[in-house]
Amino acid sequence: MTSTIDESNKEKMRSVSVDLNHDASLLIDIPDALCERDKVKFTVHTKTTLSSFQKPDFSVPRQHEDFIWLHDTLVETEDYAGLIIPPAPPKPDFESPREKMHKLGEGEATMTKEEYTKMKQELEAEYLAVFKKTVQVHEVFLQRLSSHPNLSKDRNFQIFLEYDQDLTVRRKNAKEMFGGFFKNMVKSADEVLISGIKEVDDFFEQEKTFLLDYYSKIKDSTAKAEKMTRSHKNIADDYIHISATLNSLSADDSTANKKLLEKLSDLFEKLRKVEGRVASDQELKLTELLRYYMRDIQAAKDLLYRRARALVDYENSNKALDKARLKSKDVPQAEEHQQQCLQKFDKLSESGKKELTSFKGRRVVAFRKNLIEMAELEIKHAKNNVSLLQGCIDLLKSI
Amino acid sequence: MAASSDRIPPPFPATEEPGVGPSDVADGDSDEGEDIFSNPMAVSRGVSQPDNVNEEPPDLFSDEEEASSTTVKSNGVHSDDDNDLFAEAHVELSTDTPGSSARKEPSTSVGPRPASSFTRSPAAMQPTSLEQLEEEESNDSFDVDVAVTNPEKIGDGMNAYVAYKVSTRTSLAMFRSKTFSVRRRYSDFLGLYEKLSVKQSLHGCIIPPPPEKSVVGMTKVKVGMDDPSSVEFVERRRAALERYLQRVVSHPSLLQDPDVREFLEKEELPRAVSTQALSGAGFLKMINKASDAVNKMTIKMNESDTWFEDKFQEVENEEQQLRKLQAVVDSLVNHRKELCGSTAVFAKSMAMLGNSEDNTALSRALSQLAEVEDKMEQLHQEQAASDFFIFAELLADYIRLLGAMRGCFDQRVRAWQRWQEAQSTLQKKREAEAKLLWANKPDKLQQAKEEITEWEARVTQHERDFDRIGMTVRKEVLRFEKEKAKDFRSQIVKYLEAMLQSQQRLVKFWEAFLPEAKAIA
Repeated sequence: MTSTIDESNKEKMRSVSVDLNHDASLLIDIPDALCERDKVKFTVHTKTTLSSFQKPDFSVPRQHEDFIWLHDTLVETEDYAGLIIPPAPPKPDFESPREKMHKLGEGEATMTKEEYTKMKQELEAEYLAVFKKTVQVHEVFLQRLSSHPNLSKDRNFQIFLEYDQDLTVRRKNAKEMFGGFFKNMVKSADEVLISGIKEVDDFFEQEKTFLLDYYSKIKDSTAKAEKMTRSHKNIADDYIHISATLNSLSADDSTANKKLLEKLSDLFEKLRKVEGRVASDQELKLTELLRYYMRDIQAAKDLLYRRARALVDYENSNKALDKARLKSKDVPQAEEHQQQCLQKFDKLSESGKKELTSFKGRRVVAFRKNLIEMAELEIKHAKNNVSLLQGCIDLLKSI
Repeated sequence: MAASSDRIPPPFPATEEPGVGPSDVADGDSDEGEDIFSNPMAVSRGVSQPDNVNEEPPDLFSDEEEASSTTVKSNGVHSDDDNDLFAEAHVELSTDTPGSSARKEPSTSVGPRPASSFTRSPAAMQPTSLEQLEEEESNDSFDVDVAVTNPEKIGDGMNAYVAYKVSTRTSLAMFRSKTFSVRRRYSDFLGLYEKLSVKQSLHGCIIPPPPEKSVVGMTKVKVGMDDPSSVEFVERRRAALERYLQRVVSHPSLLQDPDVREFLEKEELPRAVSTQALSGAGFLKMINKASDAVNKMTIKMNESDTWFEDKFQEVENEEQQLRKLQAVVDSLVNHRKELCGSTAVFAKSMAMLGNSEDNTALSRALSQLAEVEDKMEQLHQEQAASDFFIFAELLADYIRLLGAMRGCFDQRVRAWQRWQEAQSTLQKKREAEAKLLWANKPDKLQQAKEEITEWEARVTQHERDFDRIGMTVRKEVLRFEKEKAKDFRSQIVKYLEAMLQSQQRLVKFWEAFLPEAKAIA
């Protein structure tokens, strides 16, 4: 199944992140994507005025694994230890619509042809929504990189955008070199390390407390929001079946009830469209927002972790220096090592502070934008329901 | 109600009828729908007209609304308030033909009339056309309101039961007073239904059925009445019993039945033992049902009137579709309840997140969002109750009623069978007579001739009964269809209006939230 995303849809989709892709010197977007069974092939399109690139306008095909490779190499790069690396886009997940499609196929015999067609349409829409979301998420990842003063200059980033051959070979090499070691370490040890460290700086102390707490809360909210959206979708599906059964009843009815059943069937058909939109808007504005910032906060936590590690290294180097001085052996190396650690730590702290502050601002702006949009959409859909219901009631009273 | 308060229905005839058994058809039971009585107030219309009834369907479920402000579910065990019982729960009295001066009296009577008064033949009773039947349906109204309220658990443990207050308000003279109430339990309602079925179904009436027995539901209630599922069960049953009674009293023939009057009026009713599943009467019933089924299968009716066949098919189809719809609506109710749950949980989570948030304005907005979601949960709960108590129960009622209607068609088939059997017996008697003639036995011949005469009369009687039932069934079906259309319309409108209000409130909640979101800085 091939799907193309046009401009207007892209604008709507760019909802969770703000202030991206405004710098004309490097503009990135994903204008096209192909879905082949399980694999999604993205077309990454770059327009640039920078001389570091070979061409001003070019496109390359990329897979999800390429994005992950890029993210991981950035994380492993020492120089970026003091930056919040934008979270990697999650793997495209078509499991839910695929499972539903399977169930629908099994239940086909129990439904009327019309009902089946409608359900199929719903599922196709859901499939398309998942597809659009995954494109958006991958696009936003690249755009955050391109709008970051440091990361946008990264050599691997450039390779990702430009290299017109398959990246698979490079990916394999990278894996061998780093073995994903650093990443794994981060995942398992970070909470313990971050909370165990004695913080010297008030700012970071506060940030640490805040982020740890906020992360667990937002993770919880994301899961609960997902459940809520699923319930809405289930109700929309029920409306389809109700509408179809009412239609059958109406067709066979020869009494005064016929018209009523017909009108009611129409109403439920319209209501289910609204309910479906309520569900998908809630998903996009609320659930996606929470999900995205959950991942972003994880990235911020990673930064804290790296800084904490640098602090540990610094403290260890101090101890080593003291020991060296005691033994009067290898003192200059120890001193130099200590200096390096200190520098690294200071650099991390400085850039970390900047990153975390701008992160705060970004988060608040994004929440504001999405909460406003969600409230406006809820109002719009409810008003729509009101007019549909009123119309039907008036119709029925006049029968 | 005011419209009919000045009409005085004729006094009910003093002769009470004993229970009529299936074999008594030949005794000249009075017919439903015939104007047999000669009260001077009756407007004669030449050929006697079948009695016609057409009322607005009772305002179902209105009791729930007055007993609770927001949620139907909270119409708990002891919360009904006495004063307003009849504010909405009444059989609405209006005529479809305004300005019609020919107010007919409800004049049918149930019970055996002496055969002599029953002079008119069924043929003369038939309206000239179906359209005339329909027109005549539009003129009558009754003056009885019933309500079922105040469910109360009596006793403890496995012998406990729930007693309901059955209140009647009426201006009909056949009742002892104008307003009165009694306490009844579920088996009393079931007993009434059994009695009516036995008596009335022979005439082709559609007897409204009460809600089904539920061992599971009742056991929960016996154990304790406080958990939400028990409360829901009791409320569901109470509302269903009320609708059941309202349908019974709005049926002109059934209202005249002394058992109905006794049910509404008498202080203490003898315990209806035949409803106990394992009693002797219960077993007998089961056997009868089984034999009836077999009976139907062996003699296939040779239908001369396709109307009945078509209608029966329609009814079967409709019942099937309604069951399907009921299943989907049940699914909707469950999903709506799930949505309630997940919204509540989400609201809590959002409140926690708001607390964690360090930006003050955003923190406030998130807390407000949590409150909005809490309110949404409330809305979803009310919507789920509405889905259940209005929509789902409407479907359940009509599935039962369509079943009753099919039973009514079955009665006609049985009447046909009796007629055919009588005819074949007559044939045998004639053959016997012929044999006797040939064998030349004059004394036995006399007896044979007498028997032939007897059976000829029986055949005629059965044929008349069959035609009569056919007519009644037709009339009942028409009446039922009209009622159903009205009932559906009023219930669906009620359902949609509730949904509408819910959505309007939703708009208000989000409109209140919007400035909070905009205030984030």
